[in-house]
Amino acid sequence: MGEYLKEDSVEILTNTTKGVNVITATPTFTSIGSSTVFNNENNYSADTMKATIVPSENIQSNIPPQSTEPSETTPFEQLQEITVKKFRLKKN
Amino acid sequence: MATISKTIPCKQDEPICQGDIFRNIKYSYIDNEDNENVDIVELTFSHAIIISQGCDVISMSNLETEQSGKVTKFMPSILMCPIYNKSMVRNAAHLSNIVKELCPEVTLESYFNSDDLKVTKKDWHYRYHYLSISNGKDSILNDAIIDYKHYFTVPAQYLIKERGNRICRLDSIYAEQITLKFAVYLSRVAIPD
Repeated sequence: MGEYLKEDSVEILTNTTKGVNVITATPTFTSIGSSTVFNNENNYSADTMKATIVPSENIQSNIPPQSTEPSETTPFEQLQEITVKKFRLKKN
Repeated sequence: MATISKTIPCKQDEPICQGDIFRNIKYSYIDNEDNENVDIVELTFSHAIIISQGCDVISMSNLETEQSGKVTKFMPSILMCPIYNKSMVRNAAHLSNIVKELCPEVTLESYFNSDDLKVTKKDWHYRYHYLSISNGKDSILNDAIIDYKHYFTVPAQYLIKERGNRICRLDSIYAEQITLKFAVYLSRVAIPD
């Protein structure tokens, strides 16, 4: 938390009509809790950013097919109503 | 929306701890007794979570299982809260057997209205905690509710024996989120009309 990080590269994906723009950047940013705060616009200078266009068909082919079947290992729990039992015990 | 609580790995033989969730927990009490008999009522909650302080529960667990520790750590029982299905809570179906067996003259009515539901889903309700649990890969519980008006205690030895029915352990930050809300609910002040 609050850690100052440098030299971490990030990939920014933007959709275009020709495909997906992949921009690799090396910004400096501060991590605050689960949020990431970029310090200022100068973090993205021209020499730290490279942009390439990946054709849409290539992107599509890398997407694994979505499974509609639930995982066999899913330990999903079903919640039930309270059950009540009454009984009598004899004292010794 | 409310957060999704995360679990941490927990082996079956590990001591019981705050944030452990069990299935099929039985809570019994003496309803009546005379010189010859005792009448017992046994409630079975499909799921319940340990609310008692983590260090207290672990110390008591060690006292029972390893016969080690200080006698000042002894606790006669462990505090738990039942976990209910949200849909059942809405029309009090989770209490249908209770009403039928223990107070048949009472009619089931809407337990909480749509406003309560909206606030609960954001986890802003002071009485209810909206609970969804994931182990990071799979969902374990969805659309569950803890009603802080419902709590009970069981002996530590009982929970230790029931470790096979422990379904998960919440990461401490999520367990503390639940217990802190519980503490706040119990410390509320009733204002006269």
